[in-house]
Amino acid sequence: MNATLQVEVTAIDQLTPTIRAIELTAIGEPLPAFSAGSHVTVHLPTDPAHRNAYSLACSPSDPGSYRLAVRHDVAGAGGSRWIHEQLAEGRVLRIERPCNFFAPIRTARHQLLIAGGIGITPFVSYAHQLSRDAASFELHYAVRAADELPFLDELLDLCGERLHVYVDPDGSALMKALRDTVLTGQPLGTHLSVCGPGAMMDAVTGAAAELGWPAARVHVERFSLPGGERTPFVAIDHLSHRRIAVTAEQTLLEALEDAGYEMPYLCRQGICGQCLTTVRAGAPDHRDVYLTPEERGSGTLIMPCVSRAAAAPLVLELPRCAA
Amino acid sequence: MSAAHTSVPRDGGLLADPSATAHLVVAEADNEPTRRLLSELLGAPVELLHTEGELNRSLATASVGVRVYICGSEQFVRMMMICASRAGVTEEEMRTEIVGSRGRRVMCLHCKTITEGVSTTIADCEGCGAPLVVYHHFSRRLAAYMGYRVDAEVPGDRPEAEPL
Amino acid sequence: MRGVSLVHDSLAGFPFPFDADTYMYSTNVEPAEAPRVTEVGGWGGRVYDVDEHYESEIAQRAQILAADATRCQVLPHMRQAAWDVVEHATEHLARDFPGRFTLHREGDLRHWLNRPLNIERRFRVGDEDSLGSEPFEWITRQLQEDIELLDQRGDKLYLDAGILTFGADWSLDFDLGMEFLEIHGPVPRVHQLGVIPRAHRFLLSLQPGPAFRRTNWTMTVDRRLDTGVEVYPEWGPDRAALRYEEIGRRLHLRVEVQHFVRLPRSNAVMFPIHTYLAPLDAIAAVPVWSHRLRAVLASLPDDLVDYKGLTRYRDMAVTWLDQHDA
Repeated sequence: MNATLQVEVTAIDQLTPTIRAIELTAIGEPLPAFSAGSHVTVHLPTDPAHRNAYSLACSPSDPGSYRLAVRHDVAGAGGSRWIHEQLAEGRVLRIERPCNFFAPIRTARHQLLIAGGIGITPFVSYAHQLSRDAASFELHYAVRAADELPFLDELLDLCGERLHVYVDPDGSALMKALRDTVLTGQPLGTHLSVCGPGAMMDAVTGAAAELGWPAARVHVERFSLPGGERTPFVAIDHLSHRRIAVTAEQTLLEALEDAGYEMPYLCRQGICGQCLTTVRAGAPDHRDVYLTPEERGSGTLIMPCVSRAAAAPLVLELPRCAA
Repeated sequence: MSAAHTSVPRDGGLLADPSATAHLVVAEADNEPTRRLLSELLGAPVELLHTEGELNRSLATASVGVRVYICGSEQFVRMMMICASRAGVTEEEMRTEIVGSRGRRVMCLHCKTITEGVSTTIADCEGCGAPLVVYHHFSRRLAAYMGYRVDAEVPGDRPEAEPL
Repeated sequence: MRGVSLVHDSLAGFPFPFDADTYMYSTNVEPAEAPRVTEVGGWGGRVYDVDEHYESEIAQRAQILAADATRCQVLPHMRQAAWDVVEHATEHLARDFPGRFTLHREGDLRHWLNRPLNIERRFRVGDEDSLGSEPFEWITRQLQEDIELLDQRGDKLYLDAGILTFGADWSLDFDLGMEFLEIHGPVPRVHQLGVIPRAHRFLLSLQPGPAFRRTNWTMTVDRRLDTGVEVYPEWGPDRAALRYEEIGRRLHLRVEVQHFVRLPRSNAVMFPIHTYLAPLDAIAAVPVWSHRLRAVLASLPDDLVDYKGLTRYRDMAVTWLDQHDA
């Protein structure tokens, strides 16, 4: 159901010591149009079950190619390391169609955009779209060091005086500016969107709430869902009693797919509800946003794309298994 | 019908919001809920307003962080709500309480006339004269309840109106 | 026993909505563009359908719009979504009905041919002047579907544009700008059943690419597509006047095939809604359908009977289907 797209890596650009931009060009069918704030999921050839999601950091109007920006995450699961250490121009990759959980608010009188570090990536497409639509906006962009400012020239071209840059090793300069001026005195009808490290997004949304911003005006990139530690656990097919081991690196959905189960899925983010699975026994550790509090409480349903189990095995009702 | 999903406005009362950075209090006349609210609003600046013109002027220069409190008749509250939402105030930023007349604004869907001050379950449209059912469906854009012909299926068959 | 040979041609593509002998609201959403086989044919291969009623329904739509311009409305921030609909519909029609529609694309430029309506237009996507009219109304005047467009702001969806000339007892003009959950406020049972909140969460997570669909149903006297609230005094009297002898000819099962599409550039959610009508005479010619419709009507709870406007003739229709059950 999720038709993937074949793309070729046509350019790799080392933007900063730790950030690489990758240009992806269609093979065959033209690339789908997308809206500002969209991301794509990239299938990594290192491991068939491994996928990483990256914001599209390019113009949304008739894209001839897509551009992603990837930060070298030495401590991460390996996707960004592979992109930085192994990926070369000419390589063919599979990606999924663009998805958007962070679209601009079209009725906003003014849009206040706040980026921290690599969180600038969705706002590159925002800057293209909002400047083309002659929409009112301003972009605040905070980084840890002066040599970590990807897309600076492009953003200056698009935003001019609407761009505010903070070279801010401990985040204090941005927060001071937000509290002193940026979050106060915004005209009614302003919406705030923020993307960056979790702690930075918490600090910004916390400051906004203290300064009287209601939740409906504040938007965060839900990209990485709140999740706890990932520990290995076991799932059991309630009919065949087959045991499926889920490693710390895998999701339950990936483990079931690897085991040959034809699982329905769509978002792989715990949002869409497609992979909803019935739990016969065990205690799910819910990390999705799909189930209602009552459904969570019942303990009989799980979204295997993001949710896990703590210790005891999960006994599940599963679809047909090809293996 | 579940109250959580109805379009019918829920007037939750004039509760002071301590997170606000400014308060606009719009009162049709001097009334008890407004007096109580004004005594509770401490710290942030407070403006007391009475007319649509005054509200529009204040909203034109207001910043995010403001809260708008509206108290008066149903008619007054709904008109001020429209005015505030056109200026960009969200539902979360408004608090409302009805005192005095509860007469509703009802839009006749056949001729699109809005009849004011309706206080019965069935009322005549001031535009086309049709006897209208006052339906439990409310449009914030129009600040009106939905009204449609009660005798559409059997012309002339008009049940007794009851108080709303 | 009545044979399938008696079935009216148009029933071959009729989306008979019941899989069981009872009916209850559910989030009956499934992937779109997956053909469904029925007892007499099939449906569901396409998002937009063009059938033998195309020209007559397009003419009806034009008449309704001429009488009441509020049936088609687009709030200003929905302009991008309107162009998304133009692109989506022209591409799908040209692909799915190549004999009737042709689309040539070159960059932003489009050359569109609608042979049944004799429309030829060269335009540039995003340029209203090149199209000569507002894009949403331009394309929907060439579709049999009503189309509703929802803007997503945070975790809410708002009905901010639409055309409703073939609607079942609701009003676009009244509901315009309303939030999805509020629009469905008056529908009985669906909130308690969790149907609407779940549908809402589904729509919020819907992404560009594969479309989804569901069916909904009610009944209408005569082959009347416009049962809008605005014109209730025109069609309401037929409900009360319907006589038993006329049921087979006049009473119709009315089925909406509703599609759900996330539009790529605007991120708006689009509902194309195609309404199909079949008289009970035709339904009765398909014994499985006749039996099932009778069972559904007989077991439908009173609040749903009332909400769907069936109160005046539900019992009569059940008796009629009993009499005509093979």
